[in-house]
Amino acid sequence: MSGPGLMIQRCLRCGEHLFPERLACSRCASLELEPVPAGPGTVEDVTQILRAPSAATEGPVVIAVVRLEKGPMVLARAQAEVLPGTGVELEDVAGAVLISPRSGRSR
Amino acid sequence: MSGSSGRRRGEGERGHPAAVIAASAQTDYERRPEPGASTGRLLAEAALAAIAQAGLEPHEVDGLGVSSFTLTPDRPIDFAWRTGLRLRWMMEDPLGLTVVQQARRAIETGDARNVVVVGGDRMDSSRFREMTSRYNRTTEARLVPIGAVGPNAQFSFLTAEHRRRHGLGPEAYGQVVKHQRARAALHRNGLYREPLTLQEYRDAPLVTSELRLFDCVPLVAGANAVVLRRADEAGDGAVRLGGYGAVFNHDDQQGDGLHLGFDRIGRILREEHGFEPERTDVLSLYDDYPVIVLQQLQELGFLPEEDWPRFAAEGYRAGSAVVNPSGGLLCCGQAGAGGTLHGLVDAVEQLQGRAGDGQLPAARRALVTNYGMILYRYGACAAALMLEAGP
Repeated sequence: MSGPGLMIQRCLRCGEHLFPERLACSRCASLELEPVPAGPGTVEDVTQILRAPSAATEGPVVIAVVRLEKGPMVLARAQAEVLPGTGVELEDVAGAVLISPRSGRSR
Repeated sequence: MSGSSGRRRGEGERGHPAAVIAASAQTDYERRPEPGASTGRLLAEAALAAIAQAGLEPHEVDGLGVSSFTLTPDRPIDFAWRTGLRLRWMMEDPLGLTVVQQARRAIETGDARNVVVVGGDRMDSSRFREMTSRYNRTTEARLVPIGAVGPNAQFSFLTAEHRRRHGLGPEAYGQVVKHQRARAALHRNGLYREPLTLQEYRDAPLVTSELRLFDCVPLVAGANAVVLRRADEAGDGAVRLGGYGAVFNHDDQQGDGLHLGFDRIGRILREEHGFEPERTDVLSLYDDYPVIVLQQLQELGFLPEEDWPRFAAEGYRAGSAVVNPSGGLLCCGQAGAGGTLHGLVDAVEQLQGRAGDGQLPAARRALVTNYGMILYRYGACAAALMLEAGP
């Protein structure tokens, strides 16, 4: 599966990058935020949910904390094994932030 | 603990009498509630029991505070009407301690005289799923789609980070659960009552790659309530309210999540309200996961960094204080937002000598905390309130 790249917010006044979506810039309080591509990030940690509270979710769910080069920390679902320190790209499939299968180069 | 305020004991901020906690009540906690049991019914049961415990009639109550996730579509005014309360002060917030602090201010400014603060939920697995899936917009938009429903994923990350930072093994977290198990055996709402060995803790099923079954609170249906009154009307058995501190969204979710904000709160309590960890008898620490208990002990000054290895090996010490004497949420269960009043009721029972088999000798001073409300990666609200037994 390969979806569109994840978009985050960029403050038009001060340039701060924000994710998840905010109502105003947390640095300068501007309401003028524009969508920009999230760009690359690095996996900081990975955890597996083994007993998900949702019956709709099958099997272990692997969630990664990804620090974007632009700053924000993002929770993303990993579709394959991924280790801390791995450089990744993120995609957005109907709201689900996924680690792109194109990712995987080591940093 | 009257601190440096310069006010006379028993006097509130603007010359009105200080507010005190006159009474508390806790319903039975039910793991499998009857189909007919509703959140409103549980809240009414706790509120009316606390009002009676305070020696009041419902018509004497003029203030209502509510902490609940599942009272909806009813709001506090609907609950007031359906319970027969006529009021002149009302508010709600999921964090019970913040409601109690506001109720205290209402009494001390003359806006109310007798306030009942009640919190609870008829929580079970399907309601929990529903509640946590719609917890806030960010959860709906960004956590549910990746399968991170409920807070286990976030606390799995926090526990892993904490474990690595302090070089701990699972037994450090097991010590928290083991201690609270022993306490829960003495409490009427203790759900897990059997003694727990660290081996049993380690062998329990994994819920995430980091968390075991006993790291997670069981869901229960139940409610807690306290009644606040003017000190000059409440009688000698009332519990005095000391310093309060809180932080909300203190780091914009940009930190590692392991800085809960209790270091800042602890500093406020020490410097402005005379808080002394070594003179605390009861520590009601919000305990949705063991890692949060340990992190609070450290930030509040009960567990110095150099004591970590000894702690992990020997178990629970927090100076002279007993942590979560009821067994806490981990061993009694969490009744939704009512969990934010569980520790308060626990402490009030101890300070009033009403704790039954679990009564601690000479319990005079307590600190009660709340923590939670996950925005995205971790909780964003922390609050603490000092209590002292009446004369």
